Amino acid sequence: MGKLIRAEFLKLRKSLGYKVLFLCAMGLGLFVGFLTAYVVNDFADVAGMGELGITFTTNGFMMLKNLINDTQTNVILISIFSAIFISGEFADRTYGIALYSGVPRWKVLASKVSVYLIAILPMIVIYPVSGMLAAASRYGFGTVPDDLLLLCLRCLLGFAAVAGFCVLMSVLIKNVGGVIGACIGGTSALTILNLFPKLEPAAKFSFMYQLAQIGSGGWMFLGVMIVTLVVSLVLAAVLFERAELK
Amino acid sequence: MSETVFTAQNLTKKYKQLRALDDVRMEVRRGDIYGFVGENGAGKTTLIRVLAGLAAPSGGQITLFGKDSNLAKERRRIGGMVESPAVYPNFTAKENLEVCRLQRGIADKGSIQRALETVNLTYTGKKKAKNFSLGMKQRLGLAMALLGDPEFLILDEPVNGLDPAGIMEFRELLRKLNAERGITILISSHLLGELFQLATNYGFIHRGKMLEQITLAELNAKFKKQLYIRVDDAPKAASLLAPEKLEVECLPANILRISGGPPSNAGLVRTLVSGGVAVEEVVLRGEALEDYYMSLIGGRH
Repeated sequence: MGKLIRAEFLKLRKSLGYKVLFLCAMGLGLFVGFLTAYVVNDFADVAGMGELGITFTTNGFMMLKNLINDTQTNVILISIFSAIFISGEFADRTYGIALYSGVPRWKVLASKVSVYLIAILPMIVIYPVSGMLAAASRYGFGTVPDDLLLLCLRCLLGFAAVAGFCVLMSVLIKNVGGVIGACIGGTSALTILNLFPKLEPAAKFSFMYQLAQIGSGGWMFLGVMIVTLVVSLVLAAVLFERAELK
Repeated sequence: MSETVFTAQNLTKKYKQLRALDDVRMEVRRGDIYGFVGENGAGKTTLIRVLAGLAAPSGGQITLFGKDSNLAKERRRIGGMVESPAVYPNFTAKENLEVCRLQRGIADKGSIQRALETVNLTYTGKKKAKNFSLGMKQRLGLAMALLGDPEFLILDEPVNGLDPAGIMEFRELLRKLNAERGITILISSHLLGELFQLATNYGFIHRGKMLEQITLAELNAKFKKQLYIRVDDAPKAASLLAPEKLEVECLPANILRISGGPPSNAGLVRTLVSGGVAVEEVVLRGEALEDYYMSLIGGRH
């Protein structure tokens, strides 16, 4: 298993898609950070909004919290990465190389998913961190929020659940474009459900509903995310075990 | 009796209503170069995919190296190239082999260089596999299959798209691997002329059914011989040969094709000449593998 994971890290290191996504996340974070610190705040000052008590002043840690709560951007990044890293191998037919080398299917998927989950971490961290640094360049870091650690842990669990859902879509659909569409479309559809109060009793069991509560979610958040992650990965493993590979 | 490397017993693979493999029985013995013959869609690739673990059978059983359980473990002794070679397109040849080495758990890093040398692909440097020619990709696929010194090599249509020089080179390489390293080879192709120059055993599959398994010696013994005679007057020559009870067919350009086991070529020529027919050319030709396959499937496609 260790050597399989090393092989997956080698693939990750050579993945142009991953590098581009990482740079996009960093660039986007810097863009949002600088835009907020240097343009939006100045515009608000010019418009005299400060005199009305409306301020856009955002220090580093405030920006960090804001961007951690920006779940949709991270969902898009995770969806694209899962399509490239997991379903891309169906298109290249390279899963077969491991299988006719005598590697059991569960080991092939387990090593792939392990490295995938690890690789997501820097990608979802760089976005808020680069935004924080950009904002801090004008307003400083500010004070560390009391709930930052808890927020980060919720963020990790929440995005792990999203990643699990994307693994399932990747194994189910196998096609890169289809996986991106299904992941972004599926998560967007679940998000739209949140807009209908009548559907709330059912919608609150969806991971996208709970992801919207990332800043305040409690036990319900924890339960929904763990169940989503486990169920998605188990279903993906079953599908992969039965898949007809080319 | 030599050891069996692979057997299929009543192997069936269904895709909805289609039986891609229908009760197939097959046996590959150690040291064989097994030519797996069939037209497109006959079931060659399906059987190879089941053998390689890429697809599960709907029924029946396969054994690898005499074992019918824990086949994943036995597949460590196999090297394979199914359909067009699967390679990591953004990796160089060495990087592709490095991934394979790690997946197979091979400790010896020198095995990469040896595999590249075996297939004569040491010169590619930093060129990525996606920029390789088809021939180079085929050789890289073979190098990946050879990594870890497999005992059984499975090659599905390995010469598709290769130029004549590439085909010849590939054939010689496979012969060498079989002769020098004792690697058993299962090779499928619909290029029958190519297979005939290489294989020592044959399996003929048609519409999912295994029609026949035969050794090269048995195949040669079964081949019908045909005599082609070019004369100045083919209809007259045919009438002269009518009493001989042979299958005589008039072809264009005054050529007669005679089959059905002529008793003596010299005797036939004498009959024609004494009947006033000038014999310009006599050629004895054996039936080709294509003809044998077509006779097995009854000329159907």
